[in-house]
Amino acid sequence: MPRQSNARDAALTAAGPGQEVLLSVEGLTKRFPGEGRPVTAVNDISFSIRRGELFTFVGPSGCGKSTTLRCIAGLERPDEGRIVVAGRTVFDSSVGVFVPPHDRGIGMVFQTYAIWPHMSAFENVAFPLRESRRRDRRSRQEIDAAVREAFELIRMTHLMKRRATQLSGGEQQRLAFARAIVGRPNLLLLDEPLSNLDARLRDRMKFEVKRLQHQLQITTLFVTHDQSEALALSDELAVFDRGRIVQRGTPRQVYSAPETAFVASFLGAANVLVGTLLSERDADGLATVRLSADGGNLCGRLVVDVPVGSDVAACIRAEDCTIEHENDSPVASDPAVNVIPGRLLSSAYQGTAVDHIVEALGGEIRVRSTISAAAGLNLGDRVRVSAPAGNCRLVAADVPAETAAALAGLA
Amino acid sequence: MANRLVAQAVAPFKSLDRLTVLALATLLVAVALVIPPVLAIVYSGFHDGITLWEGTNTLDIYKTLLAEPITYRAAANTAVFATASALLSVTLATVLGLIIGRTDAVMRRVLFFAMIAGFATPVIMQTMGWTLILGPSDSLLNAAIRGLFGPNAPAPGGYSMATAVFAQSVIVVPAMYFIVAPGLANMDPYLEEAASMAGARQSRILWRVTLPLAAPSLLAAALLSFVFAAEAFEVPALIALPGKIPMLSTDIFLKTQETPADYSEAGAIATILMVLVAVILAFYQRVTLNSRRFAVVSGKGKATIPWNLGGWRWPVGLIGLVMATMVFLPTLTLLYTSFIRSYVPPSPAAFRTLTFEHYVNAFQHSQLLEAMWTSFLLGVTSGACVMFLTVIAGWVVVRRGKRAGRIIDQVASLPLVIPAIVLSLAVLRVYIRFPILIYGTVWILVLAFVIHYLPIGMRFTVAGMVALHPELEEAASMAGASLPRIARRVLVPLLRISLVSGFLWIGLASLQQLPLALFLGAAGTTVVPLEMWSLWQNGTLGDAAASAMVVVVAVLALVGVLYRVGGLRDVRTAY
Repeated sequence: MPRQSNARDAALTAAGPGQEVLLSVEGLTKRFPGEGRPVTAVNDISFSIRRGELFTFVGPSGCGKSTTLRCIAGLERPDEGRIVVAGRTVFDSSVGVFVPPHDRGIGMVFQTYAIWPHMSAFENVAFPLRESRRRDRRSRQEIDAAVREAFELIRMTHLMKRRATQLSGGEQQRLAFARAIVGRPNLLLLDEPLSNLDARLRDRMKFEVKRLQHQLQITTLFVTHDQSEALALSDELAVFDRGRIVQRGTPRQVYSAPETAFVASFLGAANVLVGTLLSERDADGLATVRLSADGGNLCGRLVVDVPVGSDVAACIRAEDCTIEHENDSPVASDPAVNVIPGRLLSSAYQGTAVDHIVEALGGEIRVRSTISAAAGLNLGDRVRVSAPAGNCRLVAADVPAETAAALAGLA
Repeated sequence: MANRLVAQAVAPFKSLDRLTVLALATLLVAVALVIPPVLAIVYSGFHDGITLWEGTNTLDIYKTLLAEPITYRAAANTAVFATASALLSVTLATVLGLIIGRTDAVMRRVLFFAMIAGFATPVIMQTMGWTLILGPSDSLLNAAIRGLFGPNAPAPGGYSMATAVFAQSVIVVPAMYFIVAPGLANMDPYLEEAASMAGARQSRILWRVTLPLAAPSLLAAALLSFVFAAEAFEVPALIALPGKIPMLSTDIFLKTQETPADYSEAGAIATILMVLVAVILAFYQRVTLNSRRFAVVSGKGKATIPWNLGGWRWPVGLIGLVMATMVFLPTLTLLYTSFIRSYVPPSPAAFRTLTFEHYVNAFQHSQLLEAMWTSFLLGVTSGACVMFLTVIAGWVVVRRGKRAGRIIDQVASLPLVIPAIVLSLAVLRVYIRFPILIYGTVWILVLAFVIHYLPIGMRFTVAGMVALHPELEEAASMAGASLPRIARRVLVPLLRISLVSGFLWIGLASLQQLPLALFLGAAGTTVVPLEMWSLWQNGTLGDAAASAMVVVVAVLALVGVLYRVGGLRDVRTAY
């Protein structure tokens, strides 16, 4: 029990003073029956969301982010924990409270949109209003007005009378959004709503979701496996791995200061090299790591508090590196820049940049360069890759979720 | 503190949510419906007494039965009959499936509608027709041979095993066609195109690719056809029985017709038949599970290209037409019989005796109208009951596929191993002394029909439900709809086609199913197939034929509706 109350305090303080917590989740655990013994899909998760915030769960498939969302929705019944939405306890395992999904007053957009094919677009959106509890059921005129308003919001008033099956994928997606918000729920859940759209439409809908959320000021929980969606949309995000939240913060914080090798690689650090810590942190916060692959040394910013000799991972983004031909005049030797010799294996033109794969450090590393820097490089050439130590982050090779919060201050 | 303790004590019961309660309730209904009749039949074989509640338990019944050579002859005859008709019917169905589904032969559409009509025509009627065509003395076949070769030519028609096998095969060909045709027609075209690119000619592709790929589904169809024949009552009763060829299903019937009725031996034979059917169905299940691995039905993608028959379009089309005619022949024969005074083979003289008197008799002097009304009530009631039960059970099976779901599925599938005639006897045995007297009312028929069609109802609802994404229901839940509201506003409307098809399917059975009603009809609650059976037994051939024609019109109307709502696409679903 003390562990839970700690989690509760942590959840409350994290929300900060003066700002209302709309959703609070404490010690949430969900197990599924598996082969032989149960599989823990969500493992003791605690977090809270402030009113009006757009909060994102991001992680690879099977990390527990969707299960957490479905527990909040009430579509799954958690094994342990407590969920409070807008001050109302909708689930509490210790006292056996479970409010069914239809009484939680939460809106949700599904991955498949789940537009009912036997109803018109209008009927789909009117459904939540007609199903609302008797005491706040509205008159026909009120329902018509509310539905029309929802259609105006998604800019689809001209399609109101259509059969749902006559709508395109993007239109169905917006319709699902209108249906989810028409009853003005306290909380809006979006379960990978963009993943079934084609790339161009997905890009447009990203801005659309942001606009709608901003306009309605509705607290939103967004689940995605796409890091670019997470970074583009969120006020705050939580990275999930194997049923736990491994890091949470604003997109900028998490992107620029990943705390674990997993977060770094998931949020687009192309190069994650494991090794052993050789030195203490120096005055500039830098330390040296010996790489396991080829025994070479690498200098980077140490962001974890671990003793010398621990396993760490060096994370370098492809765009933080520069590449030049071996024969080019060497830059003045700077201890704050790692200079890595290698051989160019492959280059791919990307329009505004060129991506390279370089054989180096006992493996392959990825480098992104400008088009002009790539000129004159041929496959098989000996090259020199420079990676500033300040942009090379030395993080824990694997960080337990409990210490993730404590580490946040170092960023 | 006290509050907390109370809450903790109550918690496990609160977790028994309404879904679990629903699952348990469905399970109880299914068990209560299905288990007692099965137990009653098995118990009958070990119990000497006029009812289940009187008499003594004994092993003597099996001892006597297994000492009689006629038991073995009946079992052997049933096996021969079932095996031969399984092979013949599936071969014919495969040929028809290829002609209709894969070639550009002429008159394919006519052939297809012949399959639908043949499928819908009550088996008892078709069998009556076949006795007139292939039977002894003045049958059409014998008359034709005499006409061609003179009065002393040998008469091949008669009540023989060959006649029985042929009639049974042609009767089940349409059902077999609907089972094998989709697999033949929807085969992944790339598999055949690959063989073509590898240099194989069309005939080689047929033998080396198409048929081997379809083999598991053809084998499954053959096993099913075997079961249909082993359980069949109409052909054995109308052809084998007068031909003194004992079979298990007719033996069950004969034991109950003795005075006093020997329900113990009937129960023992029924148990033997049930075991035989169960063994074959277990094998069938393994075959169908394996055939899914072949995944020949891709569902979408491009359609197969019909084989270009060239100059063979007409001859092949004519072969098809001959087969279609065979399906229609019994009905045509009955049509002819219903219009002439007393049956003689067709001749100019015979046509001079054209009359409507049989139709007048059918409506005035028989219980036909009453039987049609009872059939209608039976069809509507049992159809509605089955679809109501199975939409709930199917939902639990598909959406809560946990232990409860699996058990419900197994219990609801159990009636598949109970032959209709056995179930009829079983229901009679259990409910003749039921506290609420239902024997002699339509309700005992409803009960038997509900039990018998539970698995078929399940197939319809489960197939429909599997096609629905669970998020459609979850979205309704998030929109504030409770479980009953989700069922009404989302689930039932989306399952409309499956539900209507299943309902019509069962409704159709009330006009067709003779063996299931065999022991359960009483004065005032006779149904159409029973009425035709009794007319036939009383020897009023013309009246029986006329009633049959009336029923055919009703059945075809129903099938037309079924076709319009798309239910015939589900024929394969139902097996």
